Amino acid sequence: MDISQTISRAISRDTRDAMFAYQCPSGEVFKFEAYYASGRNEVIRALLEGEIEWFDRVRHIVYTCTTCGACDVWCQFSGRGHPLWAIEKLREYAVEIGQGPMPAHKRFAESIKMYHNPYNEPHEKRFAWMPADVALPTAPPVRAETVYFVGCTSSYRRMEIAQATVRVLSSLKVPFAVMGGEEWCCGSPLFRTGQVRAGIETLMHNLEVFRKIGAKRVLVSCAGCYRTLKEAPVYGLDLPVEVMHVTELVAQMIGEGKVALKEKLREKLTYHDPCHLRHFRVFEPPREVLTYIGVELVEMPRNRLNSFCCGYGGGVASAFPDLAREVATLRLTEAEASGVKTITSICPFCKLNFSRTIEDRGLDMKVYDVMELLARAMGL
Amino acid sequence: MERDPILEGLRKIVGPQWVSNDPAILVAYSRDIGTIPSYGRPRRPEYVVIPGSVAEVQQIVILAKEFKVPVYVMTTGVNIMSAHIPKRGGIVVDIGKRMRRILEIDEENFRATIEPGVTFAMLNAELQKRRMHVAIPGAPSTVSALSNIICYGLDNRGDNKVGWNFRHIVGYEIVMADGNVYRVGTWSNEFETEYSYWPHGPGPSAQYMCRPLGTMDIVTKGTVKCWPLGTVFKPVIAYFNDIDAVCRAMEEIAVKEIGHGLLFYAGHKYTSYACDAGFSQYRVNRFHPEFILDASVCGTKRRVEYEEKVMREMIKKHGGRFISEKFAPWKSFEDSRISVVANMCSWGAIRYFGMRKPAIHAHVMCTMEDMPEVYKILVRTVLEDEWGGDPNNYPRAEFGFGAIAHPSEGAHICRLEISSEGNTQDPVLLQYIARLDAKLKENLRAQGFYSLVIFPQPITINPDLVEVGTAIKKALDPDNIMSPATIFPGTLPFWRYTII
Repeated sequence: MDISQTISRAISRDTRDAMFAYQCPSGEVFKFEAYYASGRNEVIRALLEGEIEWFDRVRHIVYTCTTCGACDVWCQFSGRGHPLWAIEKLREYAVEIGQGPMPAHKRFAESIKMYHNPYNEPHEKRFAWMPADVALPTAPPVRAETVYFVGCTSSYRRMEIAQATVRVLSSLKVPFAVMGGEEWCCGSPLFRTGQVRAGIETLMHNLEVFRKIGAKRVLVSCAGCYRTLKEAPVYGLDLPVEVMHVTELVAQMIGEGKVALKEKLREKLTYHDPCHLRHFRVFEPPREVLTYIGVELVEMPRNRLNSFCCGYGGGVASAFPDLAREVATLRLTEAEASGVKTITSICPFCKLNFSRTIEDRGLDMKVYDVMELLARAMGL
Repeated sequence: MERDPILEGLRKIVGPQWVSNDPAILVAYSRDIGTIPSYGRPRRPEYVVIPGSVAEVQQIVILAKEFKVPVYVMTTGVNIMSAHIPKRGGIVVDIGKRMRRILEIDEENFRATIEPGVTFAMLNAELQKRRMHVAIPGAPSTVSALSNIICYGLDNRGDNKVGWNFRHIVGYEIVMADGNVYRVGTWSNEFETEYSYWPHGPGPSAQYMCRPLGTMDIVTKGTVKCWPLGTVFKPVIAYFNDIDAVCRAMEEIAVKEIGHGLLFYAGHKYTSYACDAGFSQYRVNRFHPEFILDASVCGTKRRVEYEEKVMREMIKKHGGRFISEKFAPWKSFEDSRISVVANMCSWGAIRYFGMRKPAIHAHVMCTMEDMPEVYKILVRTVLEDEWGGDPNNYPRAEFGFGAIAHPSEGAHICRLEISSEGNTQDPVLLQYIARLDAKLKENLRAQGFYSLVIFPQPITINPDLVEVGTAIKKALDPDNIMSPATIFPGTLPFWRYTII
């Protein structure tokens, strides 16, 4: 079956019937039906049937999807369609026929090829964030059963997440190592923008390192890394390890009574579910951590499966930064309307987008990663 | 480049960012699930415009009238079987995207005033905070509350006490083809009373202007009835193996007006909520009881205790067995039932509303008295069919062993629905549906049931209705700019009804 047939099968006729209009981030900003998953499906269909051509507006429609997958949640039980697969496959197809990706996506692909991260940062500075009080060896380990896969955004942009994570893990006496210079980008930005071949290359490297050092469990801080590693089998790759978000491990240890706190945090805040963790139904562990550290957790109307995207994913932040800010503003407004001034999450992409938006728009909000709050409650 | 006065005019009215004539934008308005079976090909508008206020809608209509360009309206585009897809070019007025404010929730009089883009989920999420809910017709929570209550709601599956859904509209504001704004229903009388009671006036009837004779105007806001959400909500689910017994139990409960959301269905259907694949569903069915009676009680703690006790006694009397509260799907079902009336933020709600949309091809209305007999005829008709009888075959009847039955209108009438699973564009499925519907009609007639209402079916609508409707349409919209050919002669719509 060729790629266009695969896409056609992934588009359900029934999607509009199942579509929850105000869950689609790009639709909520541009408002035209073509920017909602239901209409976007029709654009894809028209494209494949030759009714329209690949002109600029079509590329704009195809690449403004944040691949949050809210549409997929609804469609799985209606027409068994997968709009998320459809858009990701279409992007792959666009790259194959030379119609994609967007110029910004090509730039980060080059950066990943040269520096193993999408931010054009030197690879040797990947572990520059390592706090002196932890001083974990940053050379590639010879052998390690548990590996903390830091991810590019926590390494270069939101280092406080990585710092809090290693402090917590060390304090909890979890035996773990980091991959040092052998850690490359997981490939998430490449997969999400249709640059699948390049994505597989970088993903394969990481999987090979896991195998070489005998890793059995990989802990991640980032929802993008989580999805990409977990989906290795989708690309025909063997996944030799168990992938866990670090909050899943911490919640487990809380349940076993192994996490001692120095103080309870008496803050009132809300929690934002990252999209790529929603795909794997990781909802409760971060909430358990938050409840344990004593905060008053106020749920936003859209939570868990119905969560609304932060706007950063799918290559949107690099190609359409204004759109990313607009979507983040919608989400922050929802948080504010729930009566809180603090939003938490467990994805550095979400944190990055929220914090930039708060700064740009002068909003009176704060954003933290759950691990940062835990570290604070543990007195680290 | 040649000037386009319509495009320029629209841009002037709503601002350039809310108008488009780009083919990539237009194509998304050219089709939906209903287009292929009914018309066979997508049909693009020439322009799409997204207004943000009634004044903008008014000016758009005046512009359309000036250039004699047809106007088609869309809100969420769900559940209306292509009525918003242009029949010939024209302007699609997408009022579901920017006009979706909840304007007022009147807690004292149980009314909510909303714009057309407000979905049931959005409205119920707000109402829930005030311990209220709006009744949802046979529709997913993703649809526009106003347009589905006005145009679609045959009755209310979620609550047998509140009756026909389209009567839940108490008044609304419309922009007519001449660009004038009218307020109909109770709204037309707002200066005489501060309360809004009914949809029929004084003044023109809000209901019939829009529903069967629709497409003469654009609804820009409306007030709908709301209902109190009890402090306690409890589902009561019982199993039966005998069709007569389940019918008798349902009738007794319905006549005594106890509980909400009363309905029964084949056990087969229940399992479809819990199974991901047809095969696993089939396996579970083998261990499942034949019929499930499903109701809920809602109200104060005392009332719920009393109603639940009475309901359980009635069910027990007719041989029903109660489902254990430890049974896992109970929790999910309870969750979804609460969500039906309350919110959209739960796994159960998504599962419930997000179910594969089956092609519902026969809704049969009958008296409660006739219900067991009619139900048996439905079941027999499905089972006799070579596909319907075997759940491993595709296409197959989703409710292969029966149909959903629920009382309407204060228990005087029962509604039975039979559906088939599958892609509604699949010609094989469509053939199957046509064959099954014809057979059903034949079997019902053979048993002496001549006055049952069955819909939807692709059979002509009442010619008198068309004649009268056309005359009214000509008087009110002489240029025929409001959704031409969606209801009146020309191309007939997919959705219509017949009386056998």
